[in-house]
Amino acid sequence: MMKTIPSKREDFEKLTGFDYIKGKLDPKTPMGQKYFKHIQPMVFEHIIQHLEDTERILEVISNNPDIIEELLHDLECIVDISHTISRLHNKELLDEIELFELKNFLLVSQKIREKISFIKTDKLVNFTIPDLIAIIDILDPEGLRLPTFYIYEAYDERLKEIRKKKRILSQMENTNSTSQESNLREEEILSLINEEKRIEIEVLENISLKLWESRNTLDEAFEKVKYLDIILAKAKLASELNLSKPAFNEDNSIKIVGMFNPYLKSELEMKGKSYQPIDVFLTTGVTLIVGANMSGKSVVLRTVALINYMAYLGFHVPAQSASIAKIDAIALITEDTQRPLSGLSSFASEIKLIDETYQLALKSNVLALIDEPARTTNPYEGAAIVNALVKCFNKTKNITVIVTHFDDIECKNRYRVKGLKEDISTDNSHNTNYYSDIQNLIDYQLVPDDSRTVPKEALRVMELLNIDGEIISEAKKRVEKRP
Amino acid sequence: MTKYDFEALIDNVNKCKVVAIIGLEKNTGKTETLNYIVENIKAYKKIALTSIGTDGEEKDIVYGTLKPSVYVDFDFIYTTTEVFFKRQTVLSEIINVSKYQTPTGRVIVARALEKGKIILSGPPITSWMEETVHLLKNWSDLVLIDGALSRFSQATPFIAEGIILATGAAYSLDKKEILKHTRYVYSLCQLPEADHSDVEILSNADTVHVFQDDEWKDLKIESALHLSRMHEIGVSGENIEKIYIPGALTDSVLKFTHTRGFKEIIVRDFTKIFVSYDVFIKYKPPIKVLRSSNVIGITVNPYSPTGYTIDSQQIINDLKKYIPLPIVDVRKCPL
Repeated sequence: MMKTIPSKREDFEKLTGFDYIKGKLDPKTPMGQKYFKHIQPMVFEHIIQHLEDTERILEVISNNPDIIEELLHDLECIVDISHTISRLHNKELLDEIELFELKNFLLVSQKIREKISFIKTDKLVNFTIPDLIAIIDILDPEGLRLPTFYIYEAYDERLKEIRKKKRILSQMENTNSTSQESNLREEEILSLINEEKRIEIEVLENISLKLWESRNTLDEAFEKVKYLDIILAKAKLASELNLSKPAFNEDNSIKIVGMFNPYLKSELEMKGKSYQPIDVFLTTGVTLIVGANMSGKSVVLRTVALINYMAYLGFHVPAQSASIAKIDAIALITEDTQRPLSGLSSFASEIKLIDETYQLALKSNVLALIDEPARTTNPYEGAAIVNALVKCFNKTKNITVIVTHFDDIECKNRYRVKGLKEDISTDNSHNTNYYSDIQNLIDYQLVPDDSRTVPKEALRVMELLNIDGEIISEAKKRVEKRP
Repeated sequence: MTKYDFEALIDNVNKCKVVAIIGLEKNTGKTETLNYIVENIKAYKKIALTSIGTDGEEKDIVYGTLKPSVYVDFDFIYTTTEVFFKRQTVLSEIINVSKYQTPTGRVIVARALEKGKIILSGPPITSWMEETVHLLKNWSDLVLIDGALSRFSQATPFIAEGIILATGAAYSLDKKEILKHTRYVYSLCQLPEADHSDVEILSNADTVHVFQDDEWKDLKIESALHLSRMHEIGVSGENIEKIYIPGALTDSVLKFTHTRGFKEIIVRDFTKIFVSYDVFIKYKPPIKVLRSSNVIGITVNPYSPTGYTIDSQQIINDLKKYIPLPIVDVRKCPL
């Protein structure tokens, strides 16, 4: 099963933006909600099954949208009967309230079954709920198919007699009678109630036993309904966010075409802007990414992590197409992984996480994504550390991506964010008072790069950000002095 | 009480789909009032009964030792909670089980299949109660809500079309006190509704708002207890004409608003007003409500829990001098 660094799932999901994805999911049943809340990586065959079934449901969404709406409504009426089912397995006595819930579950599940069979295809076999009529009959002896329940007289002839007597006696209460008579009557009613309760328990035992005999069908129905809810939620997400089914390759590479970050995309779209999807190609060994400030390097790392994580949870992913390597762990080490108050300095906590990743990489297949390692130390030692990381991680044959601002890093695979578009003159700076406007001026594409230096665009970015002229000119003077 | 009062009360209930019975104090005979209305209306309407929380002693509620006290007949719809449902003897068909929990389990909506006594218990919070009432309406012609005048009953006027106030010896053994308090609560129910435009803006607001320079401003504070911070958040107290308080209007809040001389104090409804009688009389505050309360009658319970009895007829006569509504003694059947 997939490991993550940071190992605390919550932290990892926040860093990758998976928490945003989770928030977008809208499962209808309590079981589906629980599943996504504590979602766990799956074994490979389940991943494939989820991905393929999501694709099948997507097909139904586009061909039979009305049926999907009805199914969603049905799923909303589903209650979580897992506790009742486990009590049933233990041969415990179910009470009226449990039977009421079970009956409701069965009636709704049967409806779902009928709707799915209406979609004439053999592709939905994983969603086919078993026929539940025989079990429904246990809870509906009168055959009324009402979503209500009580211990019907049809269960036991004696109940009919007792209840009738009870009714007659309590009606007599209204008539004039001596207190002695009414005391006697009360006693009689009490003994009838006791008798009634005794038979009711017999009936409940009988029903519980019959249900126990059908426990496997019940289990199957429960799992199928839950599965339908989960895959429907995944498919709705895929169609809403325009996700695509990822593929897994054997050549230990990652090829993502048209990658986008769903959260940033929606943020930009809300402001009426468009998101520039990019392509990412990674092979074994270290890939270095360089680029100006604000050129989206961190977003690349996070989104690559997100896509891999989602794929291993059986989700379609935010890209036009994605082919993904088989990995055992994803490590994402980035600025906000570090906890300034944890007692370690930001450098210490960063380098500890890198070491943890390296140890893991020595013995398993890790996708290591490291954002500006050693950024908080001096550039002289910093560059040496990054060079060491490139060399060591290269040897592990894992897919590793390192983002850096340091010059003189030796790395065979090297990409550069294209960065600031050439045709922008700084005269336009009055238009870019806002941080967000700069996004329009940057080309986020990754292009192969064979130089040893990194783009020097910090000063231009500062100009665009309207930073105080004196600071910029002082900095410029110093840059120009250098050979 | 006259036969006319009795008929007029039943007539008023008959015109509503949802009626809440609000007791001014514990043991003011809400349950008697409920049973009384039920007894006299069940021939004409299919009745559903519910309660805001559970009415009873706390330890009895928690341990489930509460005695059944509400009478149901065949085909009545009622709500109770799991603990009480499992112990009751009235044969009932389960119609709905709530998703959420109360201290005594989930709320069960059931249909009585025979007559008998049950424990009424229902959702303790307003939004949940609204949902439940909606469900009960589908199964009945008249929904009766049992509620005490406490924090639980807040916003009842938003749910119930008609309100019956239950008063009696349990509030006080001093007739004058009962008279004074009942008249006071009744007068709160008569507070006028705010202007339609204000109601529209404020109906979903859960923070304090002020009306200044012809517009409503959100002070972004939830409790009026923090009103003294108004300066900190940059709102000067000048030219504020109206103030909207979403939470409880208490003596101290009222004193504060009085010093500011607002022309209008708006609260959600009368159940949010916790101002004592004396303070109210002293300041005569210009209060308006988002939703007025339609009081359709008053019931008097002459018995106090301590065994003392008061002369209900005299209280009824006195109340009738001021309150033009049917007023009845729940212990006396006029028929």
